[in-house]
Amino acid sequence: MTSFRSLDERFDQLVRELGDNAELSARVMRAVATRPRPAAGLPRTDYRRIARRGMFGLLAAMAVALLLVVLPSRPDSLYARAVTALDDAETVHVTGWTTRIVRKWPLEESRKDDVRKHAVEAWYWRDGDGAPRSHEIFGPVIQVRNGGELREYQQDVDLLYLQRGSAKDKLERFAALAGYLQALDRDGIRKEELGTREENGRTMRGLKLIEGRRTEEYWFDAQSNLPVRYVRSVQDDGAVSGFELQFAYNHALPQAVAHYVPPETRNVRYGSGHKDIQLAWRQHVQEIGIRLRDEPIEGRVALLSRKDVKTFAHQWLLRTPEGAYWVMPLDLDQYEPLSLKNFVNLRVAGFTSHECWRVPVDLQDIEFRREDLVFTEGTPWEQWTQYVLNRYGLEYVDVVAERTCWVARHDGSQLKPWQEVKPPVPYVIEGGVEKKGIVKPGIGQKLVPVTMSELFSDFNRNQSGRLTADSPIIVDETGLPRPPAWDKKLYPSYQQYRDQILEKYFVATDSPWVAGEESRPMAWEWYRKEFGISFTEERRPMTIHVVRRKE
Amino acid sequence: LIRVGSAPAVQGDSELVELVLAGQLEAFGLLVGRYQRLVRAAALRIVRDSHLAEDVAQEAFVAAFESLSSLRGPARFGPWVLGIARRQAARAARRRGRAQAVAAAVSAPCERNGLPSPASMQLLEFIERLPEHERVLVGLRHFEGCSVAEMAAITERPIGTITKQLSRAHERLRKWLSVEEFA
Repeated sequence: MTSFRSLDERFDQLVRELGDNAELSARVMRAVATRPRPAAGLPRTDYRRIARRGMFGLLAAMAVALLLVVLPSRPDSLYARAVTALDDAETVHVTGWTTRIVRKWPLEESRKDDVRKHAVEAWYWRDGDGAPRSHEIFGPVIQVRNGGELREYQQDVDLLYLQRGSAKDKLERFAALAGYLQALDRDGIRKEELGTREENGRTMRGLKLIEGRRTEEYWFDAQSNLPVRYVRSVQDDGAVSGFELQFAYNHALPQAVAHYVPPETRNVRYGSGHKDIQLAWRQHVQEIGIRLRDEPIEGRVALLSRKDVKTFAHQWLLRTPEGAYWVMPLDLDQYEPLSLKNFVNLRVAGFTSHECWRVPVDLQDIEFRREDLVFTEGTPWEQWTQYVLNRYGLEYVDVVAERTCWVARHDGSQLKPWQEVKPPVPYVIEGGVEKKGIVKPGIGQKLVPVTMSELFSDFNRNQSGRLTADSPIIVDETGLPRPPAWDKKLYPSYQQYRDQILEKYFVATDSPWVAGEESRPMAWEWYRKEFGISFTEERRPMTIHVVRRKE
Repeated sequence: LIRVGSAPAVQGDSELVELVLAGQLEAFGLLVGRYQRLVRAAALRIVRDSHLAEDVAQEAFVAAFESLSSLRGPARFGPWVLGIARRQAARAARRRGRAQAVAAAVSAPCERNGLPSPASMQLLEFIERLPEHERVLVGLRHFEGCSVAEMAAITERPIGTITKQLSRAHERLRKWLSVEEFA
């Protein structure tokens, strides 16, 4: 049973992966700022409902009424007016400095406590097709956006980061910066009108917002409402960080900016959403191959640490280009290191089978360092598995234990055409569309037709995901024909083997998800009804690989 | 400016809705901040594309703003905007033929396209199965880090009710996870 702590951990992971999107808020507010207010005239305040809450409710009702009176004199529309004015500008040129450089690819970022001032120069415009473009320099980092395509060149580490996402323009940037302007009434924000002052022949109106150790000063052109200067400072243990930006409008766009192309570099990183994201891992494996060509490992197996704790969104067991080594990522993804449980489940069990592994619960969450395992072609899985376990003071030993087996026997009836055999639970239909791939007991999980061997091995794997080696195992004694093993000489790719050989052995449209004890009766009944297969429970000896701490 | 009850300095959803209807745009910003993760998550579960989910979330909030005066029961803003987001997401998914992409993404689990991990997508799936009021509480608690008192203020329900509903939601999630968690 999943503990409450693990539920919290699942939520933590989910929240981390969802990320904090401050820009969404800004985008929404920018969009609604230009739309008609939802209701004209008096609000539909139910004063009776508020008043029922007693004194606080009454105060609340009074406050709403007060708001209606003071609203027109408040500076709350500064933001909306600035956004409208910005929208009309052909180009926006921003200059100034910042102490904080935000990198889209932050993993190789330099010191975080660096509060030196870095020059800022940014241009925002639209190209001939109306697509938003921008060119931003923050100290050593140059970010170029063309519609939804972002290229970030980090000069100090000679690294190019490519990402595809939603387009951002001058309004997005301003919205992201001017977050406080959109929430003037948030608790703890103190406002000071700075009045007006003349500068370069124009009148500017200023507003200061203070919240804790953070101070922001906004200056707007009193006539055009365009932002002219924006200063932020944050006091933190004596150090002052922040930025100061000056805004200019409708200047001619320099050709060097309009046609900027980042220099070529070998250090390319790819963000999620980019079509070439797999290249980042391929590039990494290629670099390992070059390194090992010059400095081969001693023996057949080694663990290589990653420079700068590099992480990858997509990584898999891959051979170095010259074919001398296999590279296995001992890492899950950008967000999560690999645990011992995941190592066995995701990296090792594919070479053996899931049902023959037991990893004690108190060891399952041991976290691996983000490293790459390399081994030479032909190294047996036992060798590299023990090597990795040894690194963490662990080992596996083989024991023979009695296991519950479901011995499958067939009643000799004719099998139905595979196209007529569906998983016991239909796919979820939402909005008229089959939502395939949702994981629920009995629902199809592979989305492709399967053979009987695949059905049985999927059952064994799904039941054994917890690595406790105590779930039932299907033993095939049906006598039904089995496909020949994959001969790589005849069929170089698995897809070829599948298309030309396995297709003749398909028995169902999909393989049902049958994890957990509760789904076993459903599976039992489904095999009987769809295939004429029944099971007999027997205890049989079986070799189990048990992970333990080294003695 | 407005306090609900005596505990937290948090405005209830209905107060914020009333303020927006009174012309106070910033109050809508607070509502967006309060529900943006939950709305994005609901959209993400359907469209399975993080960028598209953000666009859907934005559209949902804007649509909510435009039809705010039609909301019956301002305290139900959370469930209401979630419903809008789900409808928008379903439309977006149909428009972009996401059904095929879903199948492709699931059959090749290493290809996430900016999606949360499969484990997180599974949790999202379970959150969507919760009753509406529990789903909102789970979002406020775990996505926005609200305390029980704050949740009581936001949803304008007694603290005892909140703790019971949240506890039921956790119980359901734990049960579903214990049945279906596999790795």
